[in-house]
Amino acid sequence: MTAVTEKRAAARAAAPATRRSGLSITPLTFVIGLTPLVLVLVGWQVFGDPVDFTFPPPSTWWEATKLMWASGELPTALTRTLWTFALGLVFSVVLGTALGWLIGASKTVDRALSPLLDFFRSMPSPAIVPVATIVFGVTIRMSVVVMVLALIWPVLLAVASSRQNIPTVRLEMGRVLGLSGFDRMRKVVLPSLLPAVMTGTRVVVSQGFVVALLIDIIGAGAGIGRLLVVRQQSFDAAAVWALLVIIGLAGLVANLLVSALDNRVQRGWRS
Amino acid sequence: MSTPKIEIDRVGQTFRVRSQETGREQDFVALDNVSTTVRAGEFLTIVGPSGCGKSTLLDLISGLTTPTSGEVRINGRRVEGPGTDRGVVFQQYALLPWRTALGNVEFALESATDLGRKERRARARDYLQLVGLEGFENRRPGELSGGMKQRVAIARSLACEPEVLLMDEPFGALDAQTRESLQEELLQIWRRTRTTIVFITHGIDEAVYLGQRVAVMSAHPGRIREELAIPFSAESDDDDVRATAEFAHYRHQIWTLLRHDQQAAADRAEEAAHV
Repeated sequence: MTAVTEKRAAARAAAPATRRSGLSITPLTFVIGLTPLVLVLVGWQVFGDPVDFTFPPPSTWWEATKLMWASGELPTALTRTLWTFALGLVFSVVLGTALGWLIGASKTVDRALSPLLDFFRSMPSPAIVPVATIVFGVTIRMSVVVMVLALIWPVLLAVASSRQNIPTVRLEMGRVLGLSGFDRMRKVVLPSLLPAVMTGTRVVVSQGFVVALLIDIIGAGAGIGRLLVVRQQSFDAAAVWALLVIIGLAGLVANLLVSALDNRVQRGWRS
Repeated sequence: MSTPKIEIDRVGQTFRVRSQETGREQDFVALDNVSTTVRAGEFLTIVGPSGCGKSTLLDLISGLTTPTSGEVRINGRRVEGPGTDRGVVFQQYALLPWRTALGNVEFALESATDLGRKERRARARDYLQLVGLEGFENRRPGELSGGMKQRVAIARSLACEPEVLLMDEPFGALDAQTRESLQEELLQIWRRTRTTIVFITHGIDEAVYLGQRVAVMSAHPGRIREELAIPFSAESDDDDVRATAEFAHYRHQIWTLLRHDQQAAADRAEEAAHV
């Protein structure tokens, strides 16, 4: 359990540091930050019991990973999860931006859609899974639909409020300079919304793996969460630990990438 | 006599507003039968209390809104909407934060002209130089002071080489020193380019210092109450024109006009309270 806690703590500590200061953490500080985790893993390897049923040492995790890779289970599950995640991310961000834009630009649309959106938003994502499975079967389409229904909100809400807050003079300036309606959207409104899109995307990325794994674990997916459950049910503790590390690393990389991008945008857009 | 550059012909503007007391919708007369003309190359300042409709008037000239009655003509042609023959400088700068100073000026040229990328860049540089921002081309608005931002906005408007420059309290958000130096530079630019300028302000000194003619407006309903020609005006190169007796004379005259107006408004309010 220690390793999990440590890993999460390291991931959490890394994220706010970049957010707070706008200074991106250097690779060196990042490596130093991982030291406690490394120490725990080394200690575990050295002092752990190699045949322990629940806490097998890290070297056995590696063996389990190689086996799962060779059997093709791991590549298949990983690809499936990454595809689900990527498609869910893209659709959430694109649809969230479009809907948020419409809602933020027009009081009429806002009023017309609000009850419906509130209804969907208050629905917990696990509850959507069974219905989506009935409609789409155990397919990637089902997973993506659930992902979007669960993850569209942070983008949609951030973009809608950002659209409402674009200074009126900025839009008037576009008209005065003779920009066509399309150019005003492309060159004035869309870039104005970008920081909000990035803020939303950041939340989507950090929650995206949770939802992707949730779908698997509820029993309606074929990704890495499914593999995790299968391995756990066959008492393969080493594989379970190994999968946990893989999931943690994937989440960490995705979060680091999106926060680097977000920081860049927020810096460039500060007025 | 040739056609005036700008003709404001019996213009009225009425808004539907919800009354705060009764909650019912009623008409609010922002402008009532306003007429004036501006000659080509003239510098007109419009001064008045807040709520007198001076910004509304500028929106009508820029074409951002259309009047309820009457019409505005530029070169004898009725204004139907915004056009690149008119440049607008807003009090809040309205710069794009993601573009550099140079990028903001180029932005205007992208839609208003068919210049190529290189020519746009060159012209944007020229105009940034004109407003004294050489060396700041690659700064973003977030890295510029208020005065510098407004210089960028002025360069952006001028770069399109408009026939008319409309300025809506452009120096209102700046500190006194920055304001004075920008006023001086604006006059220099005006002398050099001879662009027709309509400049809105609530500062009496600013109106007298800049304008060849000052239109004094009154509120409720918005009207032009009086127009004063300023003889020493923007033409003079005398730096300390503000200290002359003549300057004081005009400032006092406008001050009196505005004060009477305020008095009258206060009387009206009191009367209404007694009814």
